[in-house]
Amino acid sequence: MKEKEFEVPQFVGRLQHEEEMRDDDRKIIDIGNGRNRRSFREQEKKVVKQKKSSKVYKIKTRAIVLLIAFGFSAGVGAKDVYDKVAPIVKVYVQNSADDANLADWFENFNVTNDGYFLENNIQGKNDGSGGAEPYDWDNPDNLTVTEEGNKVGAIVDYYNGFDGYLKASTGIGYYETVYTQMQRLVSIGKDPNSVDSLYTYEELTEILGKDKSKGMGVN
Amino acid sequence: MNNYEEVITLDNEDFLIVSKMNYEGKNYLYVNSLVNESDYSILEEYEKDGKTLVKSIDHDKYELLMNLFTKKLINDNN
Repeated sequence: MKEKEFEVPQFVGRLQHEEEMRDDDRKIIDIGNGRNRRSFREQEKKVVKQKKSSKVYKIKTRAIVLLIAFGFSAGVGAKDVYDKVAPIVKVYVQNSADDANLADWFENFNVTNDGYFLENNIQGKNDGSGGAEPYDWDNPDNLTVTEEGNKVGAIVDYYNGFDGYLKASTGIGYYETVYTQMQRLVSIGKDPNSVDSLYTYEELTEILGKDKSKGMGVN
Repeated sequence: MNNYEEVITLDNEDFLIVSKMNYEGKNYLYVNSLVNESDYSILEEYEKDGKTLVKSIDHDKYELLMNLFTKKLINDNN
């Protein structure tokens, strides 16, 4: 137990941190509705797993309900969130000779000034019918640009369930690629929130210098 | 079906990890106290000296991350 007392560098650092964070650190902030937001200084993450209990379920359900309530009451609408964080990825291609399919698909999107973004159902249509994806991400040979200079943009709600989808076998390919794509755009100095970051498949392949045969030209 | 929940102990108080999220390459946790159900926090996870540490997020990130967690939980719950 003595050893912890001699972690001098960390302790000094922590003192400085405390000074800087004094107003916000370790505070219990009453945010109303009987809820308190807690703050913590750095500490080791030690996760234990315990069997689910009715209490845990109760808390989890309550937390979800309250989160939803806060989300709607925070006065920050979905569009504002998208403006701040959503990456424009690319739907610079469409299914071959299937404009009707694409148009139908886009009816399920919310249209913004920047183009389109997926509402909440990327794997299938929002009407619950399932529906095939209009894009074959893994086979760029099947994809054609709608017309020269016509770049179709998609602001993908990548964070909405992103983590969960990554863990699901059906979602790995799509979301992982989308997220990687976004990061690569950033890495080459492009703003993923800008319509200037919309590219055709060919353009993106050229920019990133990747092998077209590996899907989306970015692998 | 996973029959176990992950719990993290913060300042000797158990918190249920309700949700996890990766944003801009950083992992964030939304946790809720198992002692006082009204207490919750959003934590940032990071590596230091080979250990995984967590700390509360900066105040200016709170609104954004809260909204992201809200959307994620809505989505997960659907």
